[in-house]
Order: sequence, then structure tokens, then C-alpha cells
Amino acid sequence: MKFQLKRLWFQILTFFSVNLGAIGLRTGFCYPLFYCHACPAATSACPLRAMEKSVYKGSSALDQLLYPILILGFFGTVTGRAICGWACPIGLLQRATSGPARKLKNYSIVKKLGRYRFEPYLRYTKYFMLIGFVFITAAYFGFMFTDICPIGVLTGTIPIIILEPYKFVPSSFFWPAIAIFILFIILIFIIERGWCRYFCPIGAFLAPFNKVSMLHIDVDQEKCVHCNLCAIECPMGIDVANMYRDPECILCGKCVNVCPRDAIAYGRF
Amino acid sequence: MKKFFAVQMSLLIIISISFTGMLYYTDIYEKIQGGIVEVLCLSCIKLYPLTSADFTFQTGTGEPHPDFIWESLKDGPIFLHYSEDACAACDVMFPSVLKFLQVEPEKDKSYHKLTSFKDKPVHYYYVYLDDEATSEVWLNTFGIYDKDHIHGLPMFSIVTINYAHSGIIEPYYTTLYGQFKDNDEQRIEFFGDLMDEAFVLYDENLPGFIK
Ligand code: SF4
Ligand code: SF4
Ligand code: SF4
Repeated sequence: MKFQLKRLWFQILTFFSVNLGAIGLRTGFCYPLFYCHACPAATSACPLRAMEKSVYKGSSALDQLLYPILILGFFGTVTGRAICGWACPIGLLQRATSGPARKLKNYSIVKKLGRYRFEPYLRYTKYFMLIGFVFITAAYFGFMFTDICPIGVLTGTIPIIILEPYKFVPSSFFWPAIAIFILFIILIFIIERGWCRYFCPIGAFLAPFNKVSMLHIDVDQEKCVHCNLCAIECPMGIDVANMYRDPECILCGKCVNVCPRDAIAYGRF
Repeated sequence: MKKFFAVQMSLLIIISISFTGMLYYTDIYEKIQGGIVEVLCLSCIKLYPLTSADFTFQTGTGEPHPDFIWESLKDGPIFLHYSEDACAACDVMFPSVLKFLQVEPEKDKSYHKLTSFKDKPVHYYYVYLDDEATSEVWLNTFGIYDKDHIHGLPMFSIVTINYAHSGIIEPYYTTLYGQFKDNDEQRIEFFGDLMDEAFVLYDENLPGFIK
């Protein structure tokens, strides 16, 4: 079976396993990926929500802070950001919406924008999302990222509206959350993995682990002829040939598959 | 290479030991598990529930009503108010309940007061799930009065008494979830109507209950 097909199967399987709540399996773990525990079928909890609660309005529930950090830290140390490339259902969704974004890349204006020097700086937005909205605003103002989380709308709110429409009417956060959700949908259609690149707080948490993770992507500079095929293929827009343990790499393996010189490989330890 | 290996191993050992320790020595697993189905917390899903206000004898968990409920019912109906950290809807509903029953709990401390409604006694219990000083018995009522098995917050239960088919007069309650109505006045009116209903049943059944 082709490698990318295997990855697709793995993503589909994970999607089903995060939804085992539908058959009554509810664990007390946090997901090491992005999925909302308000989803009627959720089998685990959202790590962001636990982090937010731990600092909410000045409280300091150390256990709720440490618990998701340890879970994410474990997967981060072992696989780096492979969770994003192989397991996260939002990654799967963005894999499905990547077609139009890839086509758009052929337009010269988009190419130009992509080459702008500020683009790499935009990627720091996700770290601001994590520190700003998950911790600071939750601690000082009681406003949390999960109040307006587009993934919460997609995997929590919308399924509940569909399943139990008679029980609910929208609240004050509903419309801002819907507006952000619409922007999220537009984003993932126009920029490949746009959410993961720029905004995802869980991606932000996992990204630095790429620097030390057991599993990573290695480029053999001796073999590389700088044809750039890998960079064109990379869904995260990384300059693959020149990367070393790049925090943006989701270990999808597309570059490994496309390199004509076999210069790229998964490295261990 | 060796440096990486050392860092990776150290991280893994620290993480694994801390994680196992947390699972073993704290109740974090249960806490997180309980949170998964907090689907009605507005902070999670930004939706208001419109649950029915019908009274029932059947407790949410099938467990019997705790002793302090039976005791309190000798004085009058009971108003149970549940809240927790990081619950936007709890914050919205909190002042409405305070005005309704003229009680003054601190937002993050469980509390009890024998207060009144239209000059008749009502036991008010404020159960703050994240207050570590809250007794197990009080915390347990969060499941007992979770009428619709929603596990949502905020939650309000009004307990009165009624004649059960068993031939005994038993606690009879209703539970409301989340944020409802648009302002304090409307909420107070809504709670008031339910309390009136609770008192009608209470007054009718009291002679049989305390005998
Ligand atoms: S960056 Fe976030 S949304 Fe993207 S795959 Fe990773 S966890 Fe999922
Ligand atoms: S595809 Fe291979 S040879 Fe071409 S630039 Fe990338 S690593 Fe180098
Ligand atoms: S560098 Fe390679 S493995 Fe990493 S995200 Fe890009 S294509 Fe995938």
C-alpha cells in the first residue's frame, strides 16, 4: 500500500477512535490533538479546555494544567508533530480541503504573497493564540479560546444542533464563534493547512517538540540537488531542502516520497 | 546524537513518572472524564439549553435522596444551585439567583442558608463543584439531581414533596440547566412560578410528610 494511502487510513482510523463516545466509551484522558469534548461522540477531553480551566480568572489548578501538558509532551517527545500529520481529525479535514489551495498556489499573486518575508512571522500567531487566548485572557478576563473556537463549532456545536435542535438556542458567543468558523473554512480552502500553519494552539504546543523528538525528518545534504520538489509538495510550506528539525514539519512524509534522490528520510532518535 | 538521546530519555522518564503519579494519586482522571460531557457549559458550546421544568421522583443516578435533603424538607422546599470554575453561563445566572432568594454566597465557595420565598422558608444550597471544601455528600447530589443526565452547568434543582405511587410522600424535584431567559426579572419570574408550584405541592403534602 502506498505510504500516503497508509497515512490516510491512519487518519480515518483515528477519526473513528476519537469518536468512540458514540458507543459509550468516555475516558478521562485529554486528546493529544484538536477535537472538542463537547462533541456528542467525544471519547476524551480537549487539552486546551483543561489548560484554560486551570488558570481561569486567576485560579491555579496545577493538576489540570499539568495533565494535558504531560499528555501532549509525551506524544511530542516521541513523535514530534506527527500527531498533526497522522492523527488529528482537523489535519484530515485540511487534507481534504487542500485541493483548491494547491490550485491557488499557481496564481502568481499567491506565489508572491507566499514568498513575502513576513510569512514566516505570521506563523508565530499560533504561539500568541496559545499564550494569549488560552492562558492570559482566560486568567485575567475570563475570556477563553474555547469560547470562540472554530473546531468547537465544527465538532461540538454543529453536531449538537443537528442531533438535538429542539433543546438549544444560540447564546452570546454563538455568532462570533460562527463568524470565526466561517473564516476558518475560507482559510483552509485558500491556504493549504492554513489553520495548522498560523493559528492552531495545539500545533503551537507540539511544534517546539520537533526540535528534540525521537521521530523526525532528515535531509541528506550530500544527496540533495536542490530541485525543490519537496518544498512544492510540502503541505506546510517548508523549505524542506534546507530544514533541520523544523517546528512546522508534521512528518507527513510527502517530501520523503517525492524526492527523486532519496535524500529525505524519517530519522529516529 | 548522544545529547539528543539523553534529552529524549530524560523527558520521557519525567513525563511518564509524573503522568503515572497523577493518575495514581489525584482524581484528575475522573475530573477530566466528568468534563467531557459538560456539553451544556456555554463556554464549551455556546448554546443555551431549554430543558423541561417537569417535576419527577426519579433521581438522575437512581440513588436515593440524601439525608440532608430529607431533613431540610421538613422546613420547606429546597433550591439547589450548582456552579463551577470557567463557566460563563454560571456567571450570568449567579446574580439572578442571589436576587431571587436574597442570599449572598461567594461565587467560588459552597454555601447554605435557610432563606425565604414570599415569607415561607426555603433551603438554599449553593454547590460550587471546584470548591475543595465542598462535602462529598453535596457533590454527589450533582448526579442525583441531574434529571436529564446532561451533566451541564449551571444547574438548578427545586426539591419539594409529593405523594408517590408507593403510598409514601417523597422528595419530588425538577432541574433546569444552563442560561435561560434574557434578564434577571424574567429569570426571577420563571424561578418564582416554579417555586409557587413547589409550595403548592409542599403545603398539600406536608401533613403526611412529617407525621
Ligand atoms: S496543528 Fe492543530 S489542527 Fe493542525 S493537525 Fe495539528 S493539532 Fe490538528
Ligand atoms: S526533493 Fe530531494 S533533491 Fe530535491 S530539493 Fe528536496 S531533498 Fe533535495
Ligand atoms: S517537511 Fe516533509 S514531512 Fe514535513 S510537513 Fe513538509 S512534506 Fe511533510
